[in-house]
Amino acid sequence: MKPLASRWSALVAFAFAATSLATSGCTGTLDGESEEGATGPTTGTSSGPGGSTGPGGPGVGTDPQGSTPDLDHPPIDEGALPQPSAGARRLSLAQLRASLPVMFGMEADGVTPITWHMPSGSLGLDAMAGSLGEPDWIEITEESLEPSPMYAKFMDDLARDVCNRALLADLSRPSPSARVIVREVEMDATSATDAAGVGANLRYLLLRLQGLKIAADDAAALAPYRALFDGALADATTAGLLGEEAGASAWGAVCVGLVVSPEFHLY
Amino acid sequence: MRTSRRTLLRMALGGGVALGLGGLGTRLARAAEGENLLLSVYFSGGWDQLLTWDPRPADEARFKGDAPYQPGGTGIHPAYELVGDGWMQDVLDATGGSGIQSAGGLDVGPSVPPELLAHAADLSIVRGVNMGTLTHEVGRRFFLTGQFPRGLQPVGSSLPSLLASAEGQPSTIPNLSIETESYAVGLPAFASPIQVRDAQDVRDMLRILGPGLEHGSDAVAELLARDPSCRSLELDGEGKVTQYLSSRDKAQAMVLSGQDALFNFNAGNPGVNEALFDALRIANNADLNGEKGSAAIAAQALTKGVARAVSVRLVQGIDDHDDWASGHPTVVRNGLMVLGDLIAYLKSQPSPFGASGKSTWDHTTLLCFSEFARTPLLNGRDGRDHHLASSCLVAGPGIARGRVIGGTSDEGMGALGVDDAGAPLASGGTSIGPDEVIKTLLTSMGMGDVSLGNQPVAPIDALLA
Repeated sequence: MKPLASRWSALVAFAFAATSLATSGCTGTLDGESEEGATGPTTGTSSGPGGSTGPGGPGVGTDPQGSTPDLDHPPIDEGALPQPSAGARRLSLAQLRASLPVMFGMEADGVTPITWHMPSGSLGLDAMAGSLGEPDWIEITEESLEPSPMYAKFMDDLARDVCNRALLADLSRPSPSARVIVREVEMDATSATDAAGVGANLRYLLLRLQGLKIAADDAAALAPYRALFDGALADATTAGLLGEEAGASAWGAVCVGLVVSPEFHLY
Repeated sequence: MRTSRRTLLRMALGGGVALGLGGLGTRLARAAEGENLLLSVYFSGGWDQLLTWDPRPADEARFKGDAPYQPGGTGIHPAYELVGDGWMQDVLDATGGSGIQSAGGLDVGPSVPPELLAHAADLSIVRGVNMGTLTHEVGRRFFLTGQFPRGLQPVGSSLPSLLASAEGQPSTIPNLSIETESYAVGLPAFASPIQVRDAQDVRDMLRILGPGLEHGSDAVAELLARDPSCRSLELDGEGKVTQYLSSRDKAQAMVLSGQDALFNFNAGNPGVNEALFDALRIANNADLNGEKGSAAIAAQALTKGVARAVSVRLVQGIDDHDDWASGHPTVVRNGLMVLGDLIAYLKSQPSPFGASGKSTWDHTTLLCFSEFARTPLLNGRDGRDHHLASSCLVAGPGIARGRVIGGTSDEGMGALGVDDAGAPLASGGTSIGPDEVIKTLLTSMGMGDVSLGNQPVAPIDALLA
């Protein structure tokens, strides 16, 4: 039999597992939160003072003739609690319209803000506004902010388009400091030739696109993103791309990977 | 499982889309058990019952001329004779001036066209539906969800969302919404309505837009599958991350379905859609931009197994407070004509569930509604204002055929209560609202256990087959 606290913790752990996210193996230090706190609860071991042993195991006393517990529940291990939720919300179309030019800068011409364009050339966020549930103030007066399949689909289209535009613009700018996506490293750098530079650019992109701070010495937290860059670069190289072209292709994949992640769309 | 998911991701990414991270939606989905299809048809603006589902004989003195407007009068003026269109005169001639047509056990008004009358034996009418509101949004959302809105805010999920949720996600777009509102509260992401305006929107949902990701698709898939950030845990307290990831699963499946070609509508070159266009009388691309185009999307989605539940707005602009006779009767009639053609097409097409000898229609539950009715008397501008007692048209494999449930009074067309057999009573009886109608349809599709709010709602037993 498990102590009550242990059973409670197990319940919390079960609820967490139900989200299917607890098994993701998240790593790294994010926005000052400890890794332990972020990975979810651990099984507690303490039982409440004054608890009696009954059919359900040690826990809060229920014997009316017994001693009175000084707490109505066992002490809670704060470290075992789930990460407090921010009551997440999805980006609105207005937020996306305003944010894309800030996050992705200007097109290669230096004057046109980058935003999502449809293959027809029309602005995606305007063309799809109705389908994505933006109010028309005639029949629809409230924007749906559900992360629906339709939203996810079009955000994927958006990610590839804006990342492609940003990389094309970066390729036209020789100086890394003038670039938006590949700012902390040369375009043709690899983990083999400039591991520190690649790492710095990954941390820069995570902060820019997802608001995640990763310490410079936290290689474990950066590893999945470095694997993405290295894998994409290997793909590009295998396909015959070289130098800056291969680098731009790989950084484009990193950009897409970060933009289609829930951390980009929920806050 | 993992291999197939990665393969799927690789296909998607290689094709130029980065959707991925499967599994969550599948876990949330219930197994597909039924073979139900749902067609929810909305007439936007508030329709006239005298013209359609709850007529009165225009040739009777109590309903003619000034009589209905006099003290002690019926307060009901069909005014069919004020409609100048030729089809109205044809109906009046054919019905001896009453304007009431009979077919398949149903008595209906003059705006019901032959195309829909041909299916009367398969349909049933619920009259005297008390909408409880004269506000467009409220009435519409009440009928969509079967739950009365809070203010203008909808409560609960739309009927199509409930069906899509219960049927699982075997279809590409379980819940397709064509120019209509639809709501999904607390349901799996795959049941969320995919809202489109036209066939191009459907195509855009089912294909990749823009440049592809030429290299690194596997690496992106790996990153998404690892979900490396702890932020997703932090943000998932209310399930938003889970919902987003599940939505991405569904979006990926849609893109990979290859069904976008089904909606490549071109009236000038119909190709494989020729039979569909013929059935719906689509002659040019202007037709595709109207109610016929919407019906074509619905027909294609249901017959090809793209969607389980389809909501479609077939008519708009019938909120005729002025000069009712010049537009309302014909616009409603045109919408019902398209509905009749749509039903005929569904009857002509085989079941999307495989060779069973059944047609698509045999699996389809139909609800045709508007947010409320129009006043039985003309106002000072020869228009009709909003009226509480409405009607709806229903059909389906679990619905009785050729039956009329409920009714309205001959004084002002107030909604009447009904007895256990669904017959209207002069006083007392059980009142019928959209919630009873929705509950009945849910029950007919084997979903009678679905709760509509915290108040018990009983199905209309007399309407069940």
